[in-house]
Amino acid sequence: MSTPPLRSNEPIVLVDGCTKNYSRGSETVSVLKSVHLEIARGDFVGLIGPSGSGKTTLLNLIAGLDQPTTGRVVINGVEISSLTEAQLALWRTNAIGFVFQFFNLIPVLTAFENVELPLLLLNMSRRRRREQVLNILELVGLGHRLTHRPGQLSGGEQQRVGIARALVTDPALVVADEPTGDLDSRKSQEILDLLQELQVRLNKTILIVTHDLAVAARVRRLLRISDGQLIDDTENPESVTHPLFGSLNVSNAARVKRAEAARS
Amino acid sequence: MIPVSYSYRSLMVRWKTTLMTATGFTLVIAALIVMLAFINGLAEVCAISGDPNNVIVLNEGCTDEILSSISRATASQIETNPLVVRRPDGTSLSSRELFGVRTVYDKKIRDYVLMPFRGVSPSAFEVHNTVHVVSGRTFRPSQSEVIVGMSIKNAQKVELGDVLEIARKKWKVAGFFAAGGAALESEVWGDLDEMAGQFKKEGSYNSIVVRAESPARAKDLARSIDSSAQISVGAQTELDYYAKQAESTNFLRSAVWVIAWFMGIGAIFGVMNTMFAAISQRIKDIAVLRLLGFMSWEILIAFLLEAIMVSLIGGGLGMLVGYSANGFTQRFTISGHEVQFRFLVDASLLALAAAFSLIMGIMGGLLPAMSAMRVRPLEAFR
Repeated sequence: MSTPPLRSNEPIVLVDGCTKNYSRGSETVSVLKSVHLEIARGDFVGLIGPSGSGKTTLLNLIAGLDQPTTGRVVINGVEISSLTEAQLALWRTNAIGFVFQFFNLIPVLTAFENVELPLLLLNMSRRRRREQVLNILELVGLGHRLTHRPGQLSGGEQQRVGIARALVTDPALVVADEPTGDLDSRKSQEILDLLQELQVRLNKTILIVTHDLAVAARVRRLLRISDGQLIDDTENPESVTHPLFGSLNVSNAARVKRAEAARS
Repeated sequence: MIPVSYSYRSLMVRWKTTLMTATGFTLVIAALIVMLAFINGLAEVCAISGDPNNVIVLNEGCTDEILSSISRATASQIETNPLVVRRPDGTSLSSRELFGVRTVYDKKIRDYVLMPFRGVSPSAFEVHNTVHVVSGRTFRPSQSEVIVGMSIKNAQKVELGDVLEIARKKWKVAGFFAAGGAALESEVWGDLDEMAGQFKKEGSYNSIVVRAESPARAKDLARSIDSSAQISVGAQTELDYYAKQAESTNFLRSAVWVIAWFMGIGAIFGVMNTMFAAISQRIKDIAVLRLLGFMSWEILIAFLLEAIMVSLIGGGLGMLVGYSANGFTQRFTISGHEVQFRFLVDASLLALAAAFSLIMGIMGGLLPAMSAMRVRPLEAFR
C-alpha cells in the first residue's frame, strides 16, 4: 500500500462526520455523534473525557481498529474506513503505533523480542531489524535491559518497552490509551517526559487518551469529549477542568518544559 | 510470522501442564508401536517362511493344511508333473507330509500347550532345504524318535533325550533343528509312516510339497497342478500360502488401530483442554498481536504449533518407549501353528507412529487454535 504524497498543510488525522452506533438488544446506542476532527502533523494532542464519553471509540476509529457507522476516517492521506481487514492490518503495522495502559507486552518474549514483533511483519532483514530495535530501545533508555522479560521489569520500564514497540516501525501516528494509568505519579511524569521528548525528536504525531488531568496538562492541544461529541478544543491549555475533579492549573514546570520543547 | 519461540516458550512456561499432556501422547504412541511391532513380527515370520521354489498342494478349497487330506494315488499323480525337479535317479523332489496339532503337557509351566507335529520322509530335508539339524541327530524311523524345532526348544526348555507324550505315545527327542526363523521351527518332526500309524492316517497325507527349479517355474507348476483335470487339488506356491496365513494378522491390525484411536481420542481431548485453558489466559497476547498487524491465520498457526509441539514431545518419548520392545520374543498361534517371533520395530513403524502423533496433535490443537483466531482484539481489551 503506497501512501500518497501529502501536502504539508494537510492534516494527518481527518475524522469527517463520523458516527458510531452499537446495538444493545433492540436498543441502538449512539456512542459518537457526528464527530469532526483534524489533527496537524507533528502535534501532541490529548483527548479527555469521562468514562463512557466515547473517547476510546474515537481512538479505535483513528487507529483503524473499528469502522465508523457513517462518515470517513482519513489517516496520513489513506481513507482507512474503506480498507479490508487484511489491508487494515498491514496499514496498522506501518502507520500506527499503539501504547496501552497495561503495557500489554508478551510475557514470554524478552524486551528485545517484544519490540521486534511489529518488524517481523515488514519483510526486513534480520540485521536491519536488530539495528532498529537496538536504536529505539537505546532511545527509551533500555539499552541495558534487552534480554529481560516483562516480568523482570518495573512498570515504568515495561511502558518504555511498550513505547519502543509503538515507535519501532517509524509510524506517522502514535496513539496512547491511558499510557500512565497503571503507573505512580513519578513514573507517570517520566513516561510523559519521554513521550514529549520523542514527539519532538522524531517529529511524531501523538494522540493521548486520558482522564488524568496531569497528563492532559502536558499536551499542546487538548480535546474534550462528552456524550459522543467534541465539546472543547484548547491549544496550550493553561488550566484543565474536569466535571468530577474540578480544575487543575498547569504547573510552571510543565509550561516551561512545553516551551523548551517547542523551541528545540 | 509470529516467532516459533513464542509457541515454544509458552509451552515451557507451563511445563508441568505440557509434560502431563504430553504423557498422554507418550502412552498412546508407545502402546501403538508395541502392538504394531507384535503384528510386524508375526507378518515377518510368515514372510520368511515360504520358499519361492516350493509349491504346496492341499485339498481343493482348503486354505490350511490341517484340514486337508490327499490320497496316496493323488500324491503320485502330482509328482509326475513334468515341472517338478527330478533327482539324477529320475525320482521327483517331493515331500509327502502329515500335519497335526496335539496338546502336550509342559512340565515347566504345568499346563498343556499346543504342539504342532509333522510326519515327514527323508526327502523333506531336500525340499525344505533351510531345515537342518543343529544339535543331536535326526530321528530314526520306527524308533519313536522326533526332532524339535529351535523355537519350541527355547520356549519350553526341551533337552536332548527328553520324552514328549504326543497322542498317548512317548517320543524321545533325538535332536533339534533350525529353519532360518521360519514357522517350521515351531514344529516337532518325526517319521511319516510311524506318525501315520499312530494317528490312524495311513494312506493319506495333509499336504504334498513339490519343488520347482525356479520361482517362476514354481508359479507355473502351481497353475498346472491347480488346473489339472485328473486331480481335484489346490496348489499354490509356499510364498502365496504363507502370505494368506499372514492375512489373518489383518484383523489384528484393524483391532490395533481401533484401540489406538480410542486412546488417541483421549490424548486429543487432553491437548484440547490444555490449549483452551492456555488460550483463555492469553487472550490479551492474541489481541496485542492482532493490533500490531498479525493476521488471524498467523495466530492460528502459532497456537496450532503449540499443540503440535506437545504431540511431538509426547510422541517422541512414546517412540523411545515403544522402541524398547524391539526384539522381544513372543509365541502366538496362527491357524494351528504356534509360532515364535520377535517384536519388530522398524523405521516405517516409527514414521507411522510419528505421523499418528502429529495427526493427534493437529486434531487436538485445531479447535482451540481456531477459537484463538476468532478473538476480537477490541473486546479482549474491555
